[in-house]
Amino acid sequence: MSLLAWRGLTATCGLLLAAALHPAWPAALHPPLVTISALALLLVISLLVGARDPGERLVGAGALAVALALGYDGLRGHRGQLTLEVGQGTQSFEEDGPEGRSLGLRPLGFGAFLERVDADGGATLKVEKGPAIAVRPGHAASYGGFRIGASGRAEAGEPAALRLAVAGPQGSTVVEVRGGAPVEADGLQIAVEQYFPDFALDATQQPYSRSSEPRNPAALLRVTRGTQSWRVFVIRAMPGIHRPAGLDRVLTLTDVVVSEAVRLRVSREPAAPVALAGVALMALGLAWGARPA
Amino acid sequence: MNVAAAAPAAVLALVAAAVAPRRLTCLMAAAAAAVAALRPASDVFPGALQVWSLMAALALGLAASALEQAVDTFGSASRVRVAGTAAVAGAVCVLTLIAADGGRILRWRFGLGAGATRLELPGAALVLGLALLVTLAGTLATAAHLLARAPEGYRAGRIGQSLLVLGAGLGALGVAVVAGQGLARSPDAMAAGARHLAAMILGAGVLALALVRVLAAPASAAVTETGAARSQRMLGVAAAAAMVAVAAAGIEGWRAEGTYATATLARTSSAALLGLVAVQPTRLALARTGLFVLGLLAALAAAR
Repeated sequence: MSLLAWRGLTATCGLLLAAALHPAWPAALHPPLVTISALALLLVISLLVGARDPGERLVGAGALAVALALGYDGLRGHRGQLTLEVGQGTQSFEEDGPEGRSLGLRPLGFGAFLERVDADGGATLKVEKGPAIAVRPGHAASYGGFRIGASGRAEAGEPAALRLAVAGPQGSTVVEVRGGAPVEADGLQIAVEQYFPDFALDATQQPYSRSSEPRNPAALLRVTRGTQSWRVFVIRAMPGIHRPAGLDRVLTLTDVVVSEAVRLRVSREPAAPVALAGVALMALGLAWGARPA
Repeated sequence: MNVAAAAPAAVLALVAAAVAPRRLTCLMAAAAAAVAALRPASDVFPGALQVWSLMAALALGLAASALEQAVDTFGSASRVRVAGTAAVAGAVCVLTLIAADGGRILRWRFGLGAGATRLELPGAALVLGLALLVTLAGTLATAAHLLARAPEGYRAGRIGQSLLVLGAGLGALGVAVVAGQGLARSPDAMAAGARHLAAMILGAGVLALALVRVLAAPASAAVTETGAARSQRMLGVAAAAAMVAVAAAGIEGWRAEGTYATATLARTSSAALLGLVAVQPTRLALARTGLFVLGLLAALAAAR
């Protein structure tokens, strides 16, 4: 008991906890959660056991409240990310664990779609049969027990459209082909069969994408005219590389129209008021201890 | 105007002028004012005023005042301790010069900003490099004199003190050259390097303050006791203010980002924990108070 009440232990635990909590450390040097929890527990116990006046008792009680609130939010709260393109809907978000690991999808409890992305990075979510939720940078919104805050813009994984030039005897036309919806151009029906944002060939000469960034975009197109059908490979870096027999048109991938998406931070922290009250108690206790004797 | 940077500087100036007028607090207020004057307003939140940074600045002003009071109390007992303080201040100045501009000064290079707007200052690099070498030599000579427990007036101690005085002068000259050339040639680069300049002002200023103490007469025992109690009380108020800054950072994070689990809260909590550590009645009080001041400085320096 006397060891727990020793101020040297309190100071050491506080010092180590302060170092462990600081975000300046690289991820590899971050101590595991169990170490941080043990340090916090030891600090709270030593503050409570070593308290000798009302001020110190207040600090100990506040630290206990903060530790309990953070523990409860760690176990029962949820934090994660949501990346949506305009018009895209969702009923869940990607949950992050306490150490930043992805825990998979967690239901939101309601369905919503991204109605609009504003120029300042804000966004408007429309809840199914519900209100519109406006999220602006610096102003999070509440809905369904969650806090939703703007976390930044993001490029969507899939392109909004591929811009193709179709050159034939009558000249050239430019069309935008969106995934899953064939378009008609110069008497041809063109649909995207497969898209490679960063095209490359593997050891067995099979196509794959090195990344989701559109660095070397390419696509496999299904082109039909009447009963005739062709598969045409287009790559932006090498226009007109593939000319299938019987097709009197040259298809060229000229550009990729990147779809705009917004990243939102979704949080549920039910014990936040308790943590706040705990910090307030600690501040009060420290101020009490600073009174003139 | 960059309100986010100017408001903490104003709070520090208020603390330095009215609440706890000490030289170290004045120095910090000057460094914060330099940052506020040089950095443009944020494009994202042009008028954002953050309560946590005001409370952290208040805590920093009080903690710095308590630290200086504690150093005065601690060091007034003997000239050996005063010389020890000068050696520590020399080490702080050396580390600050090394850390500024990512350690390029070790290769005799110094510049402001990064990327296309970077401004190389070879003249300032020469002055700052010399300041670094001279201060390092002075610190080592003073530390060797202290460790050898040599009598006062011994050559190593005198040489160390002279070198520290020269280092402080060269450091101040380097800061002036950086500020003069930076403002004249590229205000954008100057804005980008404002924190480095403020850090060098602090480093050279801390060394200058310590050297002033070396030349001052020791205080009486009665003053020492009063000073210790006053320092402890001020430290308690600073720790309480740091805790209020944590609460404010939590509320602001929850309002702005939807969660209190933000990097700002982590930094502020880390500093507030150091405040809690500093008020514990146990050994190494001065070192713990110094760490508290450093924690608050780091939290404020990382602010937008």
